[in-house]
Amino acid sequence: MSHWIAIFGCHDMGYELARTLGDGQKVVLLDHVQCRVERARTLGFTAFVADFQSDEALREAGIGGKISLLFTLLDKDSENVFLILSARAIDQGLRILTIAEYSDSYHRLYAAGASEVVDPYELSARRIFQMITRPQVVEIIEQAFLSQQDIELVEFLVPADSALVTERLGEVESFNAHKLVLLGILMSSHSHQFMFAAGHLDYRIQSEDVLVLVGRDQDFRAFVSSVS
Amino acid sequence: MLNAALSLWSDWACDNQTYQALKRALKRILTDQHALGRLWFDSFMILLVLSSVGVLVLNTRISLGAWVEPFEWTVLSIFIVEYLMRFWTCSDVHNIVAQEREYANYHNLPMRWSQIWKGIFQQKWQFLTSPLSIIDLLAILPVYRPLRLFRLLLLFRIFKLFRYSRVLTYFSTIFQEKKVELRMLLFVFLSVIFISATILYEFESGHPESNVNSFFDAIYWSLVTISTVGYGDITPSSVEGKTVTMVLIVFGIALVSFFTSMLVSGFNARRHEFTHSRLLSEVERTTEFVLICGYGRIGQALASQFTKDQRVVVIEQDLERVELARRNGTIALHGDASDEAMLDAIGMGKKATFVLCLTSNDVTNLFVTLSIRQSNAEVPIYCRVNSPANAHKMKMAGATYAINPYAIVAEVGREYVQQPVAFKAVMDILTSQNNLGIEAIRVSKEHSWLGHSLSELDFTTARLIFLGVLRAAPLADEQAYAVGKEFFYFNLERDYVLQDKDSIIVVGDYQNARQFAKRAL
Repeated sequence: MSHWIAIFGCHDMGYELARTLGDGQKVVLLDHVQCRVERARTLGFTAFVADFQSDEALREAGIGGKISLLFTLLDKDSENVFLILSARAIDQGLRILTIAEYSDSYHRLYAAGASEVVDPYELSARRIFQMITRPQVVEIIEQAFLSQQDIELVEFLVPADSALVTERLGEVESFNAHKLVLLGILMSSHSHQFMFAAGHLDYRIQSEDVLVLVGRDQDFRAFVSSVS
Repeated sequence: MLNAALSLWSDWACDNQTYQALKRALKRILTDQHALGRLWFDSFMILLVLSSVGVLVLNTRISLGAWVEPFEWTVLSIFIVEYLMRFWTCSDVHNIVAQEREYANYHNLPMRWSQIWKGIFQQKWQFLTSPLSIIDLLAILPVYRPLRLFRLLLLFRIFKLFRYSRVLTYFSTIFQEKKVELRMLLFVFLSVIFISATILYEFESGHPESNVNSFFDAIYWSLVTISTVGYGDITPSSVEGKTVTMVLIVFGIALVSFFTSMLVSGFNARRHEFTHSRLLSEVERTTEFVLICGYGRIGQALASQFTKDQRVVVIEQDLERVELARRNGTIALHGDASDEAMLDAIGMGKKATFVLCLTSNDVTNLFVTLSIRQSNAEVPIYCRVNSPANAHKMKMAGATYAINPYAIVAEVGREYVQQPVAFKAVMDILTSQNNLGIEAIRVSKEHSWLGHSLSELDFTTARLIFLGVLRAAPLADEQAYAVGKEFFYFNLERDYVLQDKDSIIVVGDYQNARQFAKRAL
């Protein structure tokens, strides 16, 4: 079954996300307001009307079926909480990323079943503050972490037969050899907790761990073939 | 003859830009409370008023010396010049003539000189009869010294303070606003005094034990009683007189209560304006501030980062948010940031070290950016843009940096789709979770690192991850990424020798990075 990404919220933020996700993904925009859906269609998006208060409508839209990832971008936190709770009840395995209108809604959104909560306004404020105080850092973040250009942030799932298994993080030579920077690790043995590498250099890599690396695409590919 | 002279003068005034600019500038400083330099002007005039009255009071018993006379003349001359300037700038005579000429030309009619003179007279008369102008006139009348009464009029100068103090200006505005109610109250007050005094005089004048000897005594008793002062030197003796007193006391309490509640409601109605004016004065006194237009979520989050070391001035339309901003310790002004008068009032951001246009409306943000950029070419302007299509317009208008919150959501959303683990790293860095983030450590001549290779730096012990080096000049044979005017070299070879003004880019705890840099000093 093909995996679809659903974005609940036909407005500027939804359009921007749909555009950024690009051609490689199957994206559907959903909204409970007919005219917003029509506008999304005229802009060239695949969009359908779905009432977020009706489980039936959500199932019909693909939740619990072909939709594997849901972005809830509705205007109000209360609407997003309702939608997340309904979607989570239908599909326990669904990945849900939501936005928070107010910072005090975080715990409600997580409690409702959101996998990740993003606060667009807090992120914007931090970006502007960094731009004022440390403009080079912002440019590097945009260059290295967000631009999808030459330098990329990449993940590597350590296979069971990898040469990396049982190596200490701080002693792995192949990162430097391939001009990669190890940023952090998702430890399979620590209930999939993400840790920044700097404080855990003695940790012994295990299979199913996920390494987060920064580097150029060709260097990463060379690294993968050398350690797999 | 007079008409011809007026016509000639009007032509000259309409064409002469210097004359008009001078008049405008004078008018601004005399009438606009938020004009640049107004604070200095007001302070100077207040000083003159207080010192001249002080000299008058002291000079009645003590001889202050020969300097008093020239001082008094200097003060008086300044007041006369100010009065004449106010008289001159209160209306534009040349405009009245020009408008009438335009009207006559358009309708093919002869000039209506009587209308022109009437218009000029009306506007000037309006100025002359306004309460504050009368006070001004009374303050300069004591120029005729021989009359003792005129000398006492010097005390009217104290009332001139109404012109120069914003608090007193508001007080007088409230009286002006409530003048209908005040007139009515005064009428009732005078009527009650007159009626009660007449009744009392009627019943008490014939009474043997009465101490009301004249109608003036009755009026005096009435005023003392209605004001609830009640000296007790004149008291009624007859039953009728006592009955009138009881009624008058009740009236007195009612009138005082009515008068007080009227003033309080007047103050309450203008409370926001009063606060606004007080805050504007505070902005005028502030030498440097960060200007935030729009106190939405982004504005709130940003303001909280600044307040520790820098003053923040917020302009916001929503009253609830204004109150919130004030509670959060910022100078928050209620108003539309795209209103030119508002921008003028805060000096068009000339004192601003940064301008942040963060309203949810791209049109407002663009207008504010353009307005501020026109008056200040240097100040960095950071703009929120909601529609990506408008980002380049913001740059054209002069924004230093335009940020689209929706684009940020899209960026992290894409990361979440493609690399859910890396997403966590990105989010930690972007939100500075647990103090984690990217730090640029500038190498200076004071650092022991200077001239040493990267391999000599112990990033591991400092719990930092080395990401690269930012250089002012490009390096040969290395791939550079342009970062502003500098060049970023990702994961540079460890044999690279650090130079002055290089920046080492690391990922890790901010405090670790700072200590790491400090240890090398």
